[in-house]
Amino acid sequence: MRRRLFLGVGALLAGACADPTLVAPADRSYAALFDQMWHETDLTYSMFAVKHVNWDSVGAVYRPRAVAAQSDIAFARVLSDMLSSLHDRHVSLTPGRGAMPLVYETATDFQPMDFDSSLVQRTYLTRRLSGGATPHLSGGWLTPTTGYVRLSNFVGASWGGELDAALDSLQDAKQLVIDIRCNPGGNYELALDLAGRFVEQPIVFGFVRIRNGPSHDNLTDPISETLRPTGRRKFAGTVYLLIDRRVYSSAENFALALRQLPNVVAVGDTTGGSSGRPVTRELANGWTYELSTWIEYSTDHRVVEDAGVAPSVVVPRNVSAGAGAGKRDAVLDRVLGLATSGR
Amino acid sequence: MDLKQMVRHALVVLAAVPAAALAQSEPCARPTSIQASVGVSQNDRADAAINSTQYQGRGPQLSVGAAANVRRVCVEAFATGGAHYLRPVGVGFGSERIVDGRADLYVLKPITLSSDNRTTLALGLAAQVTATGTRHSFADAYSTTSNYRLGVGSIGPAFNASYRLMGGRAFAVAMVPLVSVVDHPYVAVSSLDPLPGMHLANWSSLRGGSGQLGYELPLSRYLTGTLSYHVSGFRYTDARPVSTLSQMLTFGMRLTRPTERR
Repeated sequence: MRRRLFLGVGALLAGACADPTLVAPADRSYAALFDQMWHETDLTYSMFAVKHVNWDSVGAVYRPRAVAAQSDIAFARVLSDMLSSLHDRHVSLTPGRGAMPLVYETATDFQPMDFDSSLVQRTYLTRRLSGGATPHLSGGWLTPTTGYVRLSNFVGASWGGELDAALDSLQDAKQLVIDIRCNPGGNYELALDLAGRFVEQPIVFGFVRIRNGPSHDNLTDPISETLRPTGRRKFAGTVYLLIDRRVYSSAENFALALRQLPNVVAVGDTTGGSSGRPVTRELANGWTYELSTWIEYSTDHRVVEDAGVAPSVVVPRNVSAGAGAGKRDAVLDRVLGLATSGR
Repeated sequence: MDLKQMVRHALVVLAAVPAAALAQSEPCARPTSIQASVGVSQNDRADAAINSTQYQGRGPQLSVGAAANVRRVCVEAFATGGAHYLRPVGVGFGSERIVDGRADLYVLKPITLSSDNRTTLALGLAAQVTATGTRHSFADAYSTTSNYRLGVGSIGPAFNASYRLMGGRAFAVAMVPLVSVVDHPYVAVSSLDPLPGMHLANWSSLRGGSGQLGYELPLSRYLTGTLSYHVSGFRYTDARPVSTLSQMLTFGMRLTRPTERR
């Protein structure tokens, strides 16, 4: 009996140490990898209808090219071209660790920039923030009553304290300019945390519908996006929010939220219109790609993707100006004019 | 199959226990007691909501349990949890950190199998809840991370059998989920995700089970040492299938209430 018991325990332990197989080993042929990406995108991407893309047709066009690819580079180009048919800046392919992401680019990306942050520093700021520039923001005084804060991106987390310190330095300002031009976005939660410095009570600034099933129209009911008060100091004066075509993603969420506030005037050009929350997916060969998983709507239920966030005061883009070419910042000049006239 | 049908199905299983046997019920194999165990577990997971790769990791596991004999019904509760670092099995990429927990509640009716109580068998129902939070790190240049969750609550038939052996008692416990509710978000969770979306699953969409084999040896009047092997796993089939297998080897102590020492 004891022998049986010990044999049983031994067999049990041997079984416990074995590696169980839960999924079949992955096929890494170009055909299998293509099918994996096409299928996952089919299951995950949220904006086929918004983008008017027939994904079946896209797959039929690109699959033969993928199968015929002669190298990883050529194969990556086919996959990237397929993803680019979605016309979505949040969709990208990274073909291997350390490789540059292959992203969808629009004509805006190839136009000269008409914003030069150093011009603002050199020409417009009469006084810098008392604590100087922090790792994530810079600013100072444009006039004795107008403060300026530059937020160049929303990368990272938990640096709202830097904005609190800037607002402390600018506490005597009657108007405040928040400049997010050319801000590509970053962390959604951080953007809302920073925007929360400008509200006294929660406000709904938009809605999202998240992909939640295998059919392209499987989306959640609209979920409210709420801006909640944060930080230790609120700025109650007039806020001029500077935006342009190169404001994307969570920076657009920031603009969408602040635009709801009665004391905020958005000035400049419409934002880039890139609003899907991306998630990362992984191919069996280790390449990663990102796909948008929600559709964002403004409070009047208009899709933000491609449309962007419009300013209330439009300053047309100066397409002839290259970086640093202009000696004046047309948007900032317009804001200073508005501030002087008290609008 | 709707919920009412599935519950009826589960009750039929319980009713299959011979009424005559139930009438001759004996006390439970385990006296009223509490138990704490430590051990090591191995977790294997493949969640298509994350990717198509199987991940595996080993780590320490803590468990607590309690048993009570209530009006000739054996009630046993068991909870375990741990945090583990998982790596891909075979050729794969990325890594995962999971925090998981499981709680079981067995309600069993003892059946006499031997007059000297050498062998015991109890049949009944078990409820089981498992919850897993996964932070997946992708193998991209930025080491992007995404969070996923999986929660399953199940009810199904269960049994507990024991055999007196070498001064102690060898035992086996198992349950099979018949009806389940599953929370398995379709994409990575975000701060805007609504409350858990519960989906009903039956045996055709969620197959698995959990069991325990072990040996208990009295060490003193009120203290019993336990050595047990647990295995638990299931495959949930939906648009994003998920398979899990958890194995655990634990050593623990059971403290028996003085009046119930046998």
